[in-house]
Amino acid sequence: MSGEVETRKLVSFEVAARALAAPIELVRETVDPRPITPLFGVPAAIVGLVSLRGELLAVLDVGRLLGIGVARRDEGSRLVVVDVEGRQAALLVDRLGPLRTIARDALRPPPDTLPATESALLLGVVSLPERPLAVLDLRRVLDAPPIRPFRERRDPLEPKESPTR
Amino acid sequence: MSKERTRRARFGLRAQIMVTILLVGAVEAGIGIWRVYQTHRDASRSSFLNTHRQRFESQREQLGESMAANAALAVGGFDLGGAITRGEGAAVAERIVAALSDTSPPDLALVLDREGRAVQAPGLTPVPASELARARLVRDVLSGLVLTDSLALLDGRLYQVSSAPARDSSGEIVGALVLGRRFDALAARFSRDSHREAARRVQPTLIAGDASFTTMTLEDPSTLYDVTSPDRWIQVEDGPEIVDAIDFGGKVWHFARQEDFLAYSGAELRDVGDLFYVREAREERGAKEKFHDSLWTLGAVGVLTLAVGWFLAWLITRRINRYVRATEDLARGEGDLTKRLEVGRADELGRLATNLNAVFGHIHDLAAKVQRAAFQVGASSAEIGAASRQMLDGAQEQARRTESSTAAVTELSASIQQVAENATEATRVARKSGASVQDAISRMQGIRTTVDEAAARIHELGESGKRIGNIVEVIRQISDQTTLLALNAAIEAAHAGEHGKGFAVVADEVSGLAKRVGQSARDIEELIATIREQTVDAVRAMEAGTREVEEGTKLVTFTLADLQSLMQVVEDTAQAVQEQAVASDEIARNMDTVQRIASDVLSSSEEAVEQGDHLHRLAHGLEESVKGFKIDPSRVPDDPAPALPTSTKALASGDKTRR
Repeated sequence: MSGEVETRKLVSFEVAARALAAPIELVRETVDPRPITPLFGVPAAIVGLVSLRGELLAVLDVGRLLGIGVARRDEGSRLVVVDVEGRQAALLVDRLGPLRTIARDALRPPPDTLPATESALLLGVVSLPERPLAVLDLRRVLDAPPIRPFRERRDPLEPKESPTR
Repeated sequence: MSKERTRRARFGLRAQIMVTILLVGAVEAGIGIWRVYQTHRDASRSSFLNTHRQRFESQREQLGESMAANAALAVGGFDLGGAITRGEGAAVAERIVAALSDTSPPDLALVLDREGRAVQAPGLTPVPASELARARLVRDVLSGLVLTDSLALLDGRLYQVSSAPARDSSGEIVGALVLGRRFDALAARFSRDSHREAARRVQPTLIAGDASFTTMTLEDPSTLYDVTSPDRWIQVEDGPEIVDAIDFGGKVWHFARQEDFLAYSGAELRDVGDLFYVREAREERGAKEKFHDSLWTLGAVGVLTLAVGWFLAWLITRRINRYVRATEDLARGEGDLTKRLEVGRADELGRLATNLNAVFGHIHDLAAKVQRAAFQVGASSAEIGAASRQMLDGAQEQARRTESSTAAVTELSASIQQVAENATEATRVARKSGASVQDAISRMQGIRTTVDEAAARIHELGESGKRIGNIVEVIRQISDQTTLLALNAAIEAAHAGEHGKGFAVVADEVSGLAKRVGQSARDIEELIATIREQTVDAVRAMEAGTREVEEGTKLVTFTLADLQSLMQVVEDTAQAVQEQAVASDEIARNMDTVQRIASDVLSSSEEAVEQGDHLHRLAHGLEESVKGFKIDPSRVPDDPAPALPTSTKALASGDKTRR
């Protein structure tokens, strides 16, 4: 996965007017939005559940996780399915951006001015001519405090899911 | 008046009386002279004798006719024919003669039987049978001839005979009755019974051989034959002419002769001689002197009559003249009405004087009343004149005003006529405007239709844009989808590592294409959105325009309705004005009538003024005419002619009312 020396490829998207990106290695696919079944008793960052080819995926609101806003749910919205060492989830984004190829050293650490909740979930920030692109640290995102307990409790389900992959 | 007076003076009462007396005397003298002249003429003219003879002949004829009628009545009444047939002729003849003797006994009465014999009876004339046996008279009578005034010589005497035949029951003549009068007695009696002295002196004389007779007293009648023969006649003056006359016995005799004197004599009807009517010619000289004497007498009587007439006339006219002089002053109109005549004797003239005094009294009263009345009438007439003048002024003023009113009304009428024409013009203009508005409405309708059509087209355009937009949306979605797929492909290629590098390039290319398609779609969408916006704007504008047009149409329709009502109003006004024009014409005509009446009133007022002046002049004249009379103021009657002041008051009050 980390064979690339020279460049890195990033799937860029936008949430709450913020340009975000995810490393292409951790992205499984992008899909059109589909009916989300809401869940009760879960943090607000967990929007609900979707069924993707018979596989149930939790839909996460990155905006709420980062504390930068709330993801829209409209026709431009897309689901970015991520797979981090077998742990899969769907990120609800406002819209998808282009596939970006950046130099590996272009990724810089997030500036200190950002809130800790936000910078804790970022790998770094890429300065693009138009605006800065924040690259998400998907492992931390999936382990983010609002959803960790949820993940601990769902642990027993994991062996079931893993063989399907 | 003066002419009459002159004539009266020329033929005064005295002269008239005298002329009347003279006229009466002259008529009397004329009658006397005429009588004297008549006497003289009868005495001198021998033609008188011829007239005498003719009158005698006429009377003789009448006598004969009445005798014949007597005979016929006697024969019929006593049935002489039947009596002779029965042989009772004598008895009946006696009765006939007795009956005739009661009225006019005939000198000759004969009853003849069928054989011509005379029936013998007392009262009948005895005629010798020998004489009758051959007499033509008997033959004629028995043959049915009715004699009336034939002459017959019987028994030496000349008779005028009348006869009537007697017939039996079969109508055959069986006898006759003959009645007769002695001719000489008839002639003498005619002369004797004449009412004129000249006629009474006439002596008829028949000169004949066997039947001569005369009424003249002659010593020897036989000498008469000699002096009557024409060779013994003498010529004498008879007035202006020379006539034949007989000189006999020392006297001159005028005469008239009848020749061919026919009579029955024995067996024939023959000329028995000449009949003379003679009269002694009186001395002419004496008659002329008598005539002159009577003329002298007449002259003396005339002078005496004149004298008596003059005296009578003087006696009668003396006192009358006194009265005449007394009344002459009055006649001139300036007499002393207080004077009275002297009455004198209580005869007709005395009564005349009394009556004249009474008349003077009446005239005095009358003149006094007239003077007062004339004064009052003068005053009243002056007032009337003034009032009439005022009335005339008023009438003139009225006439002037009426004239100006008439002019004003005529002007008004003309103005109204003008207004009526203007109203008609306004109606026409309004109609034209209505037509224009109508045209505008239809044009706006056309615009609206066009706009509606345009809106429909634009709407269609919008629909087309929408469909295009749908298509573009699909394209965009496809582009998005493609982009997603390209991203996923790139992800897959990245997962594939080195092997996926080429795929990643393709995916990149696809993604780029999809991106461009999406961009184009977005551009198209933007364009379409712009178009749609513009379309919507256009549609809105159109709708607004349509609404405007509708509003405008509505407004114009309202305007048209308003215009139509305005037109109606104008037409009504025009009609009303027309009627008004007619009415004002009528008024103008009426004003003409009023003006005429006013002019009549004016002329009447002028007439009234004239009459008032005339009345005033009359009153003045009346006053003038009675002013000459002297009047005793103490004798003026108290009753001041009640009728006149009343009328004056009435006039005065009427005057006030007029004012």
